[in-house]
Amino acid sequence: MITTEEAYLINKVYVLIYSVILIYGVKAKTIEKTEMILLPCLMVGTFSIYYILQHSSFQDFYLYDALNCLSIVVVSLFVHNERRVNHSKSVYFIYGLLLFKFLMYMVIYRVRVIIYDTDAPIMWLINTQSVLILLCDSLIVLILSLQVSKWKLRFMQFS
Amino acid sequence: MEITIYAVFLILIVALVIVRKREVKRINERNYLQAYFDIFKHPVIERSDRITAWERKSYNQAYPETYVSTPYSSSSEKIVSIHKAI
Repeated sequence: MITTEEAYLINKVYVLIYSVILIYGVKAKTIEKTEMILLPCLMVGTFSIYYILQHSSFQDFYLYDALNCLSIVVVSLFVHNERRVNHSKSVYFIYGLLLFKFLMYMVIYRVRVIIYDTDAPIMWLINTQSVLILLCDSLIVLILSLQVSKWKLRFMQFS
Repeated sequence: MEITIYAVFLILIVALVIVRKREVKRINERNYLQAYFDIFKHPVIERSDRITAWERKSYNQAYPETYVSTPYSSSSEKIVSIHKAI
């Protein structure tokens, strides 16, 4: 089970990595538009977890987190459609991970908030959910980093 | 609240499928256009033969009433007219 302080720390690391990738994308000569659209959405989504942690009650916390995952996909899809940019396979995979996170949040909401009163009998489920969410986030960062490593900076054209 | 979120989730999946279909259509059109320009990377002798074959196929698609099936042509191929593509 992840405490609030640990969640803050992990989110800080993710926001930092997304910022680095975004700055790299701005400086790069050749970029993929599809990842550059998804990156700010992910950054805002990750950052908004601070707000959710501070201002939501225990009853609504998982619902807001699930909505956060959905909203990232919705905004990204809307911008892709509006700018007529084709999704890459990696972006579809990231959408899949976000939707999986959404389902995990909804399951834990149903089980932890509605069905059970105490955490003791479902500790294994809470731990599994934490691990899976962390795994999904790490995979998203890893996939984005791998995609970004294909981009070239401006000064690389002279080499 | 919970049911609304599930409804949004289902609508989102449908939207994803529709967007993917549109993208595949767009990618296919672009591939045909790209294939036409890729012909010009070949030597001139090969290029003329390829352009002739391409134009014959596109003409057959644009005017299917004049299409004559031959053992070497496949009717199931989806060829976009050059004039439409460009």
